[in-house]
Amino acid sequence: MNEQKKSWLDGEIVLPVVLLAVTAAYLAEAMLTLEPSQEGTAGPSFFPIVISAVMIVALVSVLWRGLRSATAGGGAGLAVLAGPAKVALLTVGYILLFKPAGYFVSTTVYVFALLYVFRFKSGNILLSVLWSVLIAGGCFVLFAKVFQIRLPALYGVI
Amino acid sequence: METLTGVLEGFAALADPFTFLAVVAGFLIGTFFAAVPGLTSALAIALLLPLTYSLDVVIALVMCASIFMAGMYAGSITATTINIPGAPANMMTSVEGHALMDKGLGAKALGHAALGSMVGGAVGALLLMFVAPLAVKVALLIRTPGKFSLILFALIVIVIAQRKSFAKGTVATALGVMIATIGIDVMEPIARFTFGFDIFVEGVDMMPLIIGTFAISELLIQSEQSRQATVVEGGTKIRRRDFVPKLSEIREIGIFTYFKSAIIGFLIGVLPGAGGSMAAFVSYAEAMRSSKRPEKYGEGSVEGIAAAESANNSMCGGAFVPMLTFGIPGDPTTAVVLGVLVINGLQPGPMLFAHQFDLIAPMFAALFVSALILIPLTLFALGPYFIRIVTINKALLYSGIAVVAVVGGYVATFSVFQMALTLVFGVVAYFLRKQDYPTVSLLLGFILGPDLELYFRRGLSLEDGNPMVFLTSPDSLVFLGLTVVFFYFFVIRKPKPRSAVQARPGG
Repeated sequence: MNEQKKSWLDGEIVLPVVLLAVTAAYLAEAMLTLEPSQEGTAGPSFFPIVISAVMIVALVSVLWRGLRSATAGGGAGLAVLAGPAKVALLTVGYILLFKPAGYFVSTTVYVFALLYVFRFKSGNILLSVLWSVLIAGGCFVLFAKVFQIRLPALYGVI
Repeated sequence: METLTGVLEGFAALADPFTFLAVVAGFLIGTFFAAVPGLTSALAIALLLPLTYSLDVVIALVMCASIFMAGMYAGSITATTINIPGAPANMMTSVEGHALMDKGLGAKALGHAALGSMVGGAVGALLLMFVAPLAVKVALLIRTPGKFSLILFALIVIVIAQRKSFAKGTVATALGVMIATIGIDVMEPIARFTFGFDIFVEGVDMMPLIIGTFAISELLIQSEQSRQATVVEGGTKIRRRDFVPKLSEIREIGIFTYFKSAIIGFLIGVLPGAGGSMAAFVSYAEAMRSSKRPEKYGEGSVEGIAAAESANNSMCGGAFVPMLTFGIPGDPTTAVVLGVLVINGLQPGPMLFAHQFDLIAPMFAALFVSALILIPLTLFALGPYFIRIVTINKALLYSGIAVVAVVGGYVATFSVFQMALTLVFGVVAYFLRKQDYPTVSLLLGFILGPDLELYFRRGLSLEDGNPMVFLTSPDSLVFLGLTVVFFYFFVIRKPKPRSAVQARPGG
């Protein structure tokens, strides 16, 4: 293993830092907007303050260990994120399109794009389209027909 | 007597063709999900979760039980055939089963795995039927301070049992508790942590968290590996008759080994968070210690397979005990099953056993029937085709899972916001998993957090804010004492590495 200095992009450091920021915002909200105690007993903010304290101690411990470990693991991290980033962005698009475009159109497009990301028989577009329609149709049967769940439809038709 | 009648009525409920069909369907779904590396029975139940809105609760629960049992057993298929355990609980089966596979005795290994699973699963289900009602009586004795200490004990033991960094486990648990505090306060009508958004006043629903944590994060992890080819071994021909274990081999293993392993598995299952992998490992190690032929271990010992599989399937019954009696899940799958119960308006605890036993008794029966009948039946009918499960195209599989997961986030409330939350939790869980934080602790923190806070504040209010109430109440003191004991032995004085067994080839 490479004995390099740890990069700030390394997940061992970035993740606890992000969680520390979230905990700080949570703690601030608890202290500023809620009562810590009422008539000698714990109020709505007491428990969140205790949990925040536990979280901060644990995060500092994780961060300390992350900084102390000598090996770098963050170099390849960003390249690995390409696939998950594509899937996450496609899912954001799917969620945005879900109601306006209706279940069938949005799902077919989403599945088609996912098949591309997951490298389904690259080059055979017709086969990908066919499978996209089949998967969207299969899930439609499961949700709408078997379990009677009402799904959004484009112009109330499809 | 009342319990026995209730249990028998549970079996009678399975006589309904639709209910029995649900058990079989659940078993096949569980087998499929466990046999495909990367998929788990917890994921299968998480995907089933949104559909339970449209299902009768008994149907949903019997499906959960059979998915759980099938999931625990079917992981041994890929463990044996391609040396990839379907779940961590099948790790020891992989060591012995694949060694036999290499010798051309894969069917024999699968047969012994099925027999061990069958015996262990059935024993675990029977113990559940008779231990759970007794545990409920104990649950009635625990008062408010004791309930707080019990939940605290469970959360800490779950973090310890994950065998990851204690600090990371604490972070994941605390994050789950923090998410659970969003919305209306547990004791007063005050909205907390809405950050100015009205949509958070109702709090965070369990469904997006479960689907995000189990399904979306798995999807994101698999998308990293989309360039990797599926490992498939060709030319493996398995005949049905080869699956039947020989009587001489069963005698050599000894009935005592099956039952001892099943009891060990059940007891480990009762311990919150311990799970099937610990059950299988401890039973395997104990079987090796007491074996007449320890030299066979690592070379293809059917005794090792029997012990590991008997224990991990018996764990299924054990894991239901704390979940149904105290609302504390014993492993990730029962955590998701708890979600199914809560979503369907069932509250674990003494009242569930007293007034709604008719709803959970069929689940006990389904667990037993899945083990005793469906495991051997499935192996005999589908065994020769098991190897093909792993050849399924991953792109098609994960695209389908993505649709079921994301749309599943929508169906609970018909809200696009819930779909977005599902994705957000999936991304958070993905980063946590990448950095080896136990996401099951996140889920359990979310599930148990509100009760932890409720009993903590109620306990304090009993003694006008004096925290000594947790140290003077005998039941609370027992659980706090247990917490200290576990913490001392498993965190401060860590057990020695288990290299002797874990370093076996393939393990």
